[in-house]
Amino acid sequence: MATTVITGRDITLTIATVNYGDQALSTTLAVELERNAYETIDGKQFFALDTTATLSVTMLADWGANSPSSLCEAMWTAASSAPNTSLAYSFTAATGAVFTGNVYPSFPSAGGSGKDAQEVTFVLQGTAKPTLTIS
Amino acid sequence: MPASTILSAVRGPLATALAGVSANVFSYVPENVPVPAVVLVPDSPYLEFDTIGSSTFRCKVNFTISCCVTYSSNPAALDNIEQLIESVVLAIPSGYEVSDVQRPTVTQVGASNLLVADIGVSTHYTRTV
Repeated sequence: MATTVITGRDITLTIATVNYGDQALSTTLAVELERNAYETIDGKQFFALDTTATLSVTMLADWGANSPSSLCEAMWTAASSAPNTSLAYSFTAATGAVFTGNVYPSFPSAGGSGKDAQEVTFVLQGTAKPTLTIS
Repeated sequence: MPASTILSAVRGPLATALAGVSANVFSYVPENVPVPAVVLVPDSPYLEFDTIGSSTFRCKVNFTISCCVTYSSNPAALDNIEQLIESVVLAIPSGYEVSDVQRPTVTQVGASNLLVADIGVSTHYTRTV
């Protein structure tokens, strides 16, 4: 069997029904499992307590864009006007492996260097562990 | 047919923006170069694919803007090409990254010598249908 390779070109990211693939340079969905460690007379024991999901996005800034409308401004507006309202997202790592869940909006950064395209980054806090659908 | 092409969305608008420069502007490499001239040349790598996803054709397009002036007297030619570079950089529209200017070199085109300097420019293109 040949080695399977998937790349960033296989990723599709949709937040609040908006496809961020048009601008996103990289994105990572990370889930951390928090464990407590207990020293017992039988040795160290671990117990899983909680999970924390974060969705990180680095994208080309599109402040001021009208057609299509700015994704930076959409995220800023969501974070500013409804920071406690979660947004549904879909993260396709590759065909047949789709993560879905909800994240809270976050403010994109703004700025850049003189000779490069402006990039923005933001980290979105997940409401819960994402659901992985394998088909 | 796509609604936009690299020619219509990137090369053409850049050449149009440079039309105000006091030089002959070409959005392609001409057979003969009537100096002073500004020529839009694909850089290498020409297209880079740095965004996620593959459902739409999206890429970073790299160009070299070659500024060419007559090379007869070195001080005068250097002054001419510096002024041409300044006017070209000022004319580059927003949405294009301007990286750097390579040192001027003497290039023989046909029977004449030209002083040529390359300006690195790039932008991002998304194909629309």
